[in-house]
Amino acid sequence: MEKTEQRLITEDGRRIDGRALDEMRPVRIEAGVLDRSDGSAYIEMGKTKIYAAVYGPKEAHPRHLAQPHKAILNCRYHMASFSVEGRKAPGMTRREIELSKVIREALESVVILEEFPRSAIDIFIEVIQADAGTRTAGLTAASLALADAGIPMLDLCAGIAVGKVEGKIVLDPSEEEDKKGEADMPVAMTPRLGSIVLLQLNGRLTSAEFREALNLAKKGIEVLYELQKKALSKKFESATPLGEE
Amino acid sequence: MSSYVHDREVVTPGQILSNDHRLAGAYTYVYGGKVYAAVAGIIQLRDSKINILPAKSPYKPSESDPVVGIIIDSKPSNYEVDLGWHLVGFLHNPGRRSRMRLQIGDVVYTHVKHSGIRGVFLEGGRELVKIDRGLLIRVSPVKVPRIIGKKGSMLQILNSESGCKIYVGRNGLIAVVGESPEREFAVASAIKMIESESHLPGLTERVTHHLRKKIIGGEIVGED
Repeated sequence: MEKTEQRLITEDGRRIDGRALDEMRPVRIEAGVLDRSDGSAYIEMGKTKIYAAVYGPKEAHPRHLAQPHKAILNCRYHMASFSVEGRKAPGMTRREIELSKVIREALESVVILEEFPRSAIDIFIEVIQADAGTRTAGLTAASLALADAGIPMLDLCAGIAVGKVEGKIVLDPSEEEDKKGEADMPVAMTPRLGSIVLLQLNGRLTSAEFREALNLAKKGIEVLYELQKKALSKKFESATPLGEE
Repeated sequence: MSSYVHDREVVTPGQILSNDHRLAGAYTYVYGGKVYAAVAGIIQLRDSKINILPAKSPYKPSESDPVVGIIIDSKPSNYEVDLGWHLVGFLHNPGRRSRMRLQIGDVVYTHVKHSGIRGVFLEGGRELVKIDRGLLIRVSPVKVPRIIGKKGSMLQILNSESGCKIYVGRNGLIAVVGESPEREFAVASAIKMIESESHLPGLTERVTHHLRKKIIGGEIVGED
C-alpha cells in the first residue's frame, strides 16, 4: 500500500489551516501595552505572540560603546522558555543572537539616531509563543514600540515571511509549512520609503519565484503597516492634547 | 501652501506632510525636498511651519531650559544631577566658597547652561536654587507647556490659588513648596489632572475649581 502523507496544500489551493495561498494569519497589533516601559507594542500573528519594549534614550553602557554623534541601538530578541513545544533553554542561543543582530540592523536604518548623541536605546523583543515568522513579527512590534516611545524615525517598518510549499509561493507560512516547505524568506520593508531593511532566504527559489515571493511579501507588509498606523493613532487620539490654549 | 495635512490631524512616522521643504518644523524631517513626519503626534500649523506635537517624547535638553534635578553624585569639581529620563547633568562644584552646600539626594532648580556633545551642563551661581522641602512630582515633558499655560497663566492660577511656590522643570520634574502638605498635595493632584486631561476643553476653569475644592483654609475637604 502506498504511504499516505499529509498534503500541505489541497487540490483546491487551500493550506492546512484553510487559508488561501496569499492569505495571512489573523493579526492583532497593539501599542503602549506595558506601563513601565518608555514604549511598547504587542503583536499576534496566528499563534505567534510577541511583546516588544523600548527603554531610553539613556546613557550608553559600557561607556566606550557610546558614539559621540549618534545613539546606539541595543536589541535583544529572546524566546521565552515556554514559547515552543518542549522547553527551550532560557539563555540566548546562537540563533537568537543572530536574529537580535539582523533586527537591530533593520531598525538602525529607520531610527534617526543622530537625535540622541552619546546615548543608547534598548529594545527588548520577547517571544511569548512561537509559531513561525517570529523575527518579522518581532521587528514589526519593535518598530511600533519605538514609535510609541516617541523616538524620531524615518518610517515604521513591518515584516512578513513568504515560503515555498509544495512548489507554491505562500504568504506567512505557519510552523508546519515552514518545517516541511522548500523555502522560507523573511522580508521587512519601510513601506512609505519603499526600501527593504531585512531579507533572508532559507532554501532555494528561482528568480521568477523570488520576484513573486517579494511581491507577495509587499502585499502582506502593506496590510501590517496599516494595522501599525491604526494602533498608533488609536493610542494618540486618547492621549494627546489638542494644542496649547 | 503645498501641504497634505490639516491642523490637528493625527500623523504617524513617515507620513508625507508637504512638498515644500521650507515648511519643515518640529519633529519632521526632509527627504528629497519633501517633508515627512518623524514621530506620531498631532499636527500644529504655526508660524508658517508644520510642527508635530508628540503625545510622548524623550526630553531633549536645550540651552536656558529651566530644569529640576536630584543630586546623585558629588565629585571634587562637579555634582552629577539626575534630570530624569535617563539624563545626567553636570553642575560645577564651587567648593568651599559656595554659599550653599549640596549633598547627594538634594533637589535643585536651575537652568541648562549648555547641552552638547560633551554632556549637559547646568547653571550654578545665582540661578541655582536648592529645594529643601516640598513635593517632587514627575510628568511627561511634552505636557510641561500645558502646566505653564499661555504666558504662564496656568502656573499663575496654581500659584495664586494655593499659595505654593512651584518650580517647573522642562524635563518634567516639578517641585511644589507650600505652607502645608495639604496645599502641596492639592497642587500635585491639579498638575496630574492637567497632565491627563490636557486635551479636553475648559481646563483652566476645572483646575481652579479643583484647587478651591481641595483647599479651604488649608484643609482637604472631602475627596474629590
